[in-house]
Amino acid sequence: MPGQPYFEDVAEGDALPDLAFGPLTIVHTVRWAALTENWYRLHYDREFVARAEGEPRFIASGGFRQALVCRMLTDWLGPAGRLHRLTIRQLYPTREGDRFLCHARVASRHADADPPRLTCEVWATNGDGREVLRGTGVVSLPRRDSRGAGS
Amino acid sequence: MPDEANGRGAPLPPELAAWIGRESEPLTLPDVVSDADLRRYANALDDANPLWQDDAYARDAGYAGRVAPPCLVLEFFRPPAGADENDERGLRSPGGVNAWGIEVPVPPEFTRLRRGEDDVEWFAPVRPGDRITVRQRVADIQLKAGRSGALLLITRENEFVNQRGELLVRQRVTSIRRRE
Repeated sequence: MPGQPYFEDVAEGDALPDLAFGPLTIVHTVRWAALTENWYRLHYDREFVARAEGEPRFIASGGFRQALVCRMLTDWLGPAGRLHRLTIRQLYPTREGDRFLCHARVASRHADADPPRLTCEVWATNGDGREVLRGTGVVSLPRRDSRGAGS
Repeated sequence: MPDEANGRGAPLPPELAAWIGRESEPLTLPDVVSDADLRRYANALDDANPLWQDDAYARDAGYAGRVAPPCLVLEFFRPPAGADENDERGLRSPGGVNAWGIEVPVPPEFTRLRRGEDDVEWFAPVRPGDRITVRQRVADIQLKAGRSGALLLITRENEFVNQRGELLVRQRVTSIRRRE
């Protein structure tokens, strides 16, 4: 885990550390299906997917991809940062063998909130650079003069 | 919404329109959230953040102890249901994605299901030992003409509360159904 970022050290336009995931394998999707008890064959049954879903390969669930975007944010937020809101629009599948690369950038700073908040643009691409989802995250970070504080 | 879901609107059959605004009875998860849930969820995401596994670390960060990763609660609301051996898709197998909440009577030809859009707000952390209850409301249903045929967009609003009645998370989630 990297250390704790502070609000004063973050500027609009700053990129957050990427989260690079994949290539997606059946182990990833079956593990997620078992965890969430979601047995939709779209996510692990190659024969079924080709025959009945019009997809060349099985695809990651939207919830799994959203959870990875969330992880990118919580990885960066450190112990004292908080996630307040996340909106995600799913745009294109992540298929077996695809990479899932999450990105984020600080879109605006809100110093008047307590603790101060940031609005971040978030998006993800596959290995070909195609955008597969897009959204917005609202997070808060501690100020430098409030070390150790949390809620 | 996926690109293709930005198509023209089409009139919604009245038997579907009648479901907009319906609310579920509060549904309580059969098991309390456990340390194992947090560990298994974090492992499925290769997430080594100590906030999810280390009580002392989380206390130093201002929590009462280890907390659940923010999106965990969105995935842990699937009470056991009876298996349906005729359900090839797996959508209705035990704990399938339609196993809880309000089951909107989607016309049977809309077989395929995709996640469209989420808007999630967090108000308080989920902790091991919490007994979670959800209330669901059908916020909207739309019929649209997408590139690959008609799409049915169902938006549900889920409010997750703990055993003290504290609102933890509000999720507005749109699923997309389309024909084969």
